[in-house]
Amino acid sequence: MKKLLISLAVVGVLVGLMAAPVMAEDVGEVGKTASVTVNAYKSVTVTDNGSPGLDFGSLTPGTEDEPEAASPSLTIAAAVENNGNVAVSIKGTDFSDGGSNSFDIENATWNTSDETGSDQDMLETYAPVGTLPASTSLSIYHWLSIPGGQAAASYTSTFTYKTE
Amino acid sequence: MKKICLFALAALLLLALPLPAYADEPAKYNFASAQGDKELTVTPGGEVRGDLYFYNIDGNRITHLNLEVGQAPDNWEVAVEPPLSETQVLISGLPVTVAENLYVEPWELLSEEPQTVPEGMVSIKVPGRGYTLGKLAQVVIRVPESVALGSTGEITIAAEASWLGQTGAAAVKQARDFEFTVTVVSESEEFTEVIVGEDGSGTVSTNGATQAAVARWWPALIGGAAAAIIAGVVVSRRRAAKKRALR
Repeated sequence: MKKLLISLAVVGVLVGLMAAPVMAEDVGEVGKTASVTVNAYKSVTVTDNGSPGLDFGSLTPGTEDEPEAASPSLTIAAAVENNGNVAVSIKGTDFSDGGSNSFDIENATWNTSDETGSDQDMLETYAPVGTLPASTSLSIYHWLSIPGGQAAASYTSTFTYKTE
Repeated sequence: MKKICLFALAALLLLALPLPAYADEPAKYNFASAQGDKELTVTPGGEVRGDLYFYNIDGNRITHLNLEVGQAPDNWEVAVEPPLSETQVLISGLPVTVAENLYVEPWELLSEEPQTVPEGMVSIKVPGRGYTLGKLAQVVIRVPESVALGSTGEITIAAEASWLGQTGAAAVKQARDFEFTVTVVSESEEFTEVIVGEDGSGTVSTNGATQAAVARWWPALIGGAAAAIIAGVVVSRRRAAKKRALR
């Protein structure tokens, strides 16, 4: 009986010694991957400070830098819930009467201040305007020139503000 | 009776006050979006959907949205639901047809999640502000069977928001791109991991019960087996000794 007990004790110690390193690895620190998706919120409001749409009135050919009816023309605001900055850029389409008459979009200009000296031409491709963190806003001023000899008609364009 | 009439008149005046105030308010063109998971997975020949939520709590005009697929890998089918369709709109009494995927009406901000949501709308949580009702657009992405496992595809949805009733020389629009990265994964739901050795042999891991992990237990298993054999030998020798003693 004594021999049996001693044998079992030896066996127990042997198994314990061999299993201990493996057990230690299993009960040690284990890295678990945690994942979560945070939705991207982006809300931008363009306030049209004058009458709806950008209004330059009735102009004569050769007019230069006629300001839009409202000053500033637009106010672009990023909402409080945005969880990232909003990059604002701007582009426009050529002015057209829907028929054969048109003039280049470069005759329209923009600025974030009311100074025409540093205004920039509108382009058919996006040009950067600025970056808006949440709860901030910027103002946009617009001017329009009419080429000399431009045919009399009602011209329209579309100004697109990319807010991403 | 005279008092009642005066009270009713005062109430009507109070009710009428906000109307001119609203009419005088400048137009506010709100383009608000919440994009769900940008990282999507799809199996070869399978389909996955990306979610885009739109709401309008800061505007006072209906936002009309056009959603186009700007970029997608060749041979991948990418579509937007709801698709482009024509909507009849009355602008100051004049009928106008608008081609759009969806429109989002100005909606009030709610302090609690709405219990009932009208058909075609969804409840949207607006962080730090509350809840509102808006619209859901889904980007449906189908990949061919032949697409390679592990490959990725970049999808861009170009959104354009417009507002009706602008009478000036230039109409104002907003534009925004939504990007999704789609990774092609195996159809098998079982997780496998293969470490490829220099000789090309691999150790395969399945659902965490790896052959390597089993190998770690070999010393303990061998020790246990040895212990069982030793114990068996001891017991059998003891029994043999008892038998000899009984004889």
